[in-house]
Amino acid sequence: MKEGLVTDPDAVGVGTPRRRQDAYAKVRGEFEYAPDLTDSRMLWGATLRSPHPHALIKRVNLDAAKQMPGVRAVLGAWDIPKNSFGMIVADTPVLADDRVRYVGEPVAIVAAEDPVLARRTVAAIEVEYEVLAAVLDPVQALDAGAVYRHVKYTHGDPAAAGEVQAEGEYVTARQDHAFLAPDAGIARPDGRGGVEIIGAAQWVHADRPQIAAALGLPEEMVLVRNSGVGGSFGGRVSIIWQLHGALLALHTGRPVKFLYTREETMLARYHRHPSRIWLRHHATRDGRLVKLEAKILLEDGPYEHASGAGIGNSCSMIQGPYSIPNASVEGWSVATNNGMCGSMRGFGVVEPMFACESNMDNLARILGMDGAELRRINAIQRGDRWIFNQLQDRPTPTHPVMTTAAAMPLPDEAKTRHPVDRPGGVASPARPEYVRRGVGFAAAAKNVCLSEGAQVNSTAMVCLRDGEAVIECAAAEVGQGFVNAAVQIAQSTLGVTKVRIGGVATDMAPAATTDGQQQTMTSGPAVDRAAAAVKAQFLRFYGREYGVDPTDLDIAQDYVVDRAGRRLKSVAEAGMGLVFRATERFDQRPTRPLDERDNPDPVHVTLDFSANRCVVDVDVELGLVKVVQMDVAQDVGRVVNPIAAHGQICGGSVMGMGLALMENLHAEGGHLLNTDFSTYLIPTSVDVPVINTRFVEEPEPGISYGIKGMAELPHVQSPPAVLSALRAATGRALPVAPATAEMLAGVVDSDQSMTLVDVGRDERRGPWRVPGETRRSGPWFDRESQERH
Amino acid sequence: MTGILLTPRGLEDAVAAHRDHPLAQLVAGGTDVVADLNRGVPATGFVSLRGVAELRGVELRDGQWRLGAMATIADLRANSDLSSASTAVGQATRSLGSRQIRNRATVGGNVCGGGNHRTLVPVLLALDATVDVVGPEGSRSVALSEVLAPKGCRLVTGEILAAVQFASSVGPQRFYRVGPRNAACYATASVAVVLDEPNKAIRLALGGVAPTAIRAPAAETIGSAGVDWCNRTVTDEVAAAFGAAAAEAADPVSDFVASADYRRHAVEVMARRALRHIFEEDRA
Amino acid sequence: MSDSERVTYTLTVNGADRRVEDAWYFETLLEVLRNRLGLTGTKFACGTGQCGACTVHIDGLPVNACLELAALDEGRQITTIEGYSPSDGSLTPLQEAIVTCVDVQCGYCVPGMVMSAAALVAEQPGASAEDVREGLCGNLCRCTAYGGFVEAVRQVAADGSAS
Repeated sequence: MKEGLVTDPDAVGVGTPRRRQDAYAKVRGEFEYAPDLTDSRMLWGATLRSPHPHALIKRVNLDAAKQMPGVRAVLGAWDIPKNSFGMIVADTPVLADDRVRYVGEPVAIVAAEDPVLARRTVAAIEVEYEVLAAVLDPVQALDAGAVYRHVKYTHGDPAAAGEVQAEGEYVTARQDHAFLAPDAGIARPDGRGGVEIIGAAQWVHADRPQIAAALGLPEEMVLVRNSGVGGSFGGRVSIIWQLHGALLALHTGRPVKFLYTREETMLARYHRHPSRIWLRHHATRDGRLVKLEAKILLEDGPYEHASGAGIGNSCSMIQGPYSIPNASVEGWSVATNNGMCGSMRGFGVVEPMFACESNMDNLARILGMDGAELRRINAIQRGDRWIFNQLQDRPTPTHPVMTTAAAMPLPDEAKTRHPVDRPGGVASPARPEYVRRGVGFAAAAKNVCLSEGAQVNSTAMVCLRDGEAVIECAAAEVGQGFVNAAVQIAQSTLGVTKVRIGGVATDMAPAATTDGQQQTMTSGPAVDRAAAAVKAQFLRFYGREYGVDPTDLDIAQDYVVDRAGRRLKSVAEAGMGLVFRATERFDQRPTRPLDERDNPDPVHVTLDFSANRCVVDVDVELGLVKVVQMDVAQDVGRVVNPIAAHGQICGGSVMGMGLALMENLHAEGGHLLNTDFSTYLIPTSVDVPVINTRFVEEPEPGISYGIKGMAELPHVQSPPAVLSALRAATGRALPVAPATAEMLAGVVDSDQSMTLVDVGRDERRGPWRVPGETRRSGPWFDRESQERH
Repeated sequence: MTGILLTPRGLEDAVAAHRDHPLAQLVAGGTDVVADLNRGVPATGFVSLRGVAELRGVELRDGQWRLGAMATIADLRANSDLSSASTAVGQATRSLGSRQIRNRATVGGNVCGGGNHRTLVPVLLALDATVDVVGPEGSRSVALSEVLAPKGCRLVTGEILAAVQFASSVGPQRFYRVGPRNAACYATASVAVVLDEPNKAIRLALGGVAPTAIRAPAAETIGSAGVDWCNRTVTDEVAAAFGAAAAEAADPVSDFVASADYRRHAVEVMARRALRHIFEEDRA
Repeated sequence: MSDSERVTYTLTVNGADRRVEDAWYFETLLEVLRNRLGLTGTKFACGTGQCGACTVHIDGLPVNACLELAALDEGRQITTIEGYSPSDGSLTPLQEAIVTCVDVQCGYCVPGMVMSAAALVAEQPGASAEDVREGLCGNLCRCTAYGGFVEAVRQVAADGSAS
């Protein structure tokens, strides 16, 4: 915890620790989230979900269900005007039609007078399934050609080789967002044939067209409104209950509320892609990287959703924050029946950065070099070219973040601590003589903003009256603090301290999605431009009224001031009750698909960099861990709010620590085994380390105030940082995240944690495109050699 | 469909209610039963033991501790005499769940809930606990191990666990556990070691490595014979043999949390360390 | 005693007697508070007792409302975040410390954190940061990594000015 880092209710403007206005309602329990929504006439929705990973639906019998007490509607796929939706590719059924393709896939929906009656009605629906063989392993899927996207490119001279080579195969688990608020919301018919949908969203303007299309309605008849969001982390992208609620609301003529249990929240949604990544770094004897070879396999679900974007990110960011002159990269995202996969904080980059940094540890060991030093000498610099053929043309503080993190003070050596800090906790058998301390280091890079041709822009309106400004911007607030950042930006730009921001709905101009750590960096400038336009408007008005040249005027701390800063009149009074309003739009620079290497546009709008020097204590005999401290330096462009930025780094780092140590949504036979918080474990207050943060501020050009996105990168840097420290403490290779106790203790060889699958010859049919040839590349295919399969 | 919610006020009423409504679940603290309800397990009626005063209480009488079945884990922790009398009980109750859970979870729920992950059960086994059971035919007292089961507990139809009893013992004790995170989780494996110094005997119980928690008699024999009771020391060799025998007694399964090999390894290490350090830490 | 699925009882919530009519006998206190009594400050997040977002005080003890059968809480003093928070819209010293030390992010864990911490500072005046971290292990936060909460609670516990 940064000493003295506190919020300040009176702070104003960019760069201050202004207290969020919504903190008061939140601490009093008065802030409304989607699960809290209620309506006096509402019905409760419930969903019948598939119990099989892959099956034909032979027969559905609704007779018993329709007789249940309190039921008002029972709907199936046949009731849906257009039974498909999807963020990028619209291949996901709203309700399963002739077959189900993952456990938890929605099959039918009901609306009833109370939630118990709704659940009982669901239980009364009879479905006859014919179970089919399921694709449960990504290698099996690849072999069967169930590929959503195949990426392949080379850079420089793919035949180049380094005197020293380090290779490894790395695995990361399926991770759940585990935001605290379960999926929920209300859909209301608007009385004119349309519907209003309120719930937690990241991008209401993307939700609306999908909902409207599925319902067969014009978009203007669908209003999507954001409720208070109890955490997102990339998990509120897909429309889960919204379509179901809308259908039931239109069918019954009454509001319909959905509230999922935690288990349903985990089953119904997508998770981070499990990954298998092989890579080989080539280097000179003094540690300069010569070439990178990589093969990346991301497991995806049975519907495409956003999988193309994930593998695109992976195949570019596998480079890490390093300058590498030659490369050969290939990657696939493949379809299995293990459940949906999609964006989660650090989308498509957590996996390759884990592999990259783990292999850099490997390389450092082979070279006999210090890991931080190896990274520093290879750090990418401004003017270098990325292997995906993008010029790094922005500030590139790789050296500053690496040297800063490496130089932060280590914690004291004492391993005699309060029992709560023992590796393993209060009843742990760990004692200082059994505990080894490990110090690790990881650096990371992540793309900022959606990439590869996605249009990233926001529109904001600022309205000034009686000395108070109101911001209207459809940027989803999901906890990250955009509502506060927007106010601070408007305060600084407009010079007025009283600023409010309203809610988010589709009856406003669109903003960017809260994704890709891009919101403050995209909607912030939109707010800034609108605030600047309002200020200019206001001063022109004042100038006309008082016969003053507006260029001699400014606004500061709620007053119109002259060049010398003398107060002339309060903004409230000078405004004469008039309304000054401006709407402005901001666009990020255009980007191009990864495979269009000759297109001069960049693949990614910009990239951010960080480093984490991590200290762990490990009871090596038992594999018990206490993460003692993380020292993180991050490239943040310009800090809008230091306590908020610190909070993002802490929260993201601990979420990544969860993946490093304990988070694994296990799939077995197509069933997710641990779908509640008693078995899917996230870090508690006992598990968290001391986290020190340092901001490296090199303003981002072309962005208001030099702001740069920052909220995903902490989750990208921390899994490899923790693993690096664990390797130092245990001396083990640890190529898998999470590194469980048995891997750390050496009881189980990490490699054995990968289930070997005998790839059969089943035919695969389904909504995914089947390329003409199967892919036979990568060491996991090599059946001739006795290497791992 | 009808449901039952019964709130008997006395032990006799509770026994009658339980006998007359065999499908209704006994509810003690509710931390298991209601969690399952929230997971979608349909309710089949409840007999709540909250109002049964005879089931409460934590007391020491004539050298015998009596923990009422409805005594909560918080009640146990609040009794400072108990924590001083039994370090193992103190360490186990401290590590169980969270404060919120401890305010409701009960001794009876821990003993009768079934499974091998119960925090208190290895400790109670190592304390040679007996359980008082009351049923339609009257009361009886049996060894704790007689009622443990992988699911629920082995009681005759209509019987209710009334209390757990163990003799106060003299000598240091240890409870250790390992788990997938450092707080508020089920133990992957655990050990409870109780030294009965006047009788020069060691008792060892293991959690998480068999269908229920178990004692490890072969390890106990090695430990009891190998400890230098006079000087209150233990050699590395004896501790190692003790640990190895503990692992030998284990018959764990592999699941998504841990492999059988790790569980066996964990009890070996925990038992070994417990014995190795038990006297020196006691002196400290 | 009741032998139908519906029960009627009275709960004493935040000092007021609230009649609950024809509720399901198996409804949890969390469901009754939120769906029948309009008290949505107590949050639902996990339903299995790990997250503590539903922490309320029952006879002064912090418990998970999601694991309480509501009908069994008749006659008990139940305090929710609505009852804990001052009725004039202000903040208690603990709430003030939290909004000062924590940049509250999504905020979903906060009511449960407040109720849990309020009980902790009353039970453990002078609690150290480590004691606080141990004491709050039943309250999960996914956004902040707990640092500010621990500092806030430690300060209030040190002040001895409980609640």
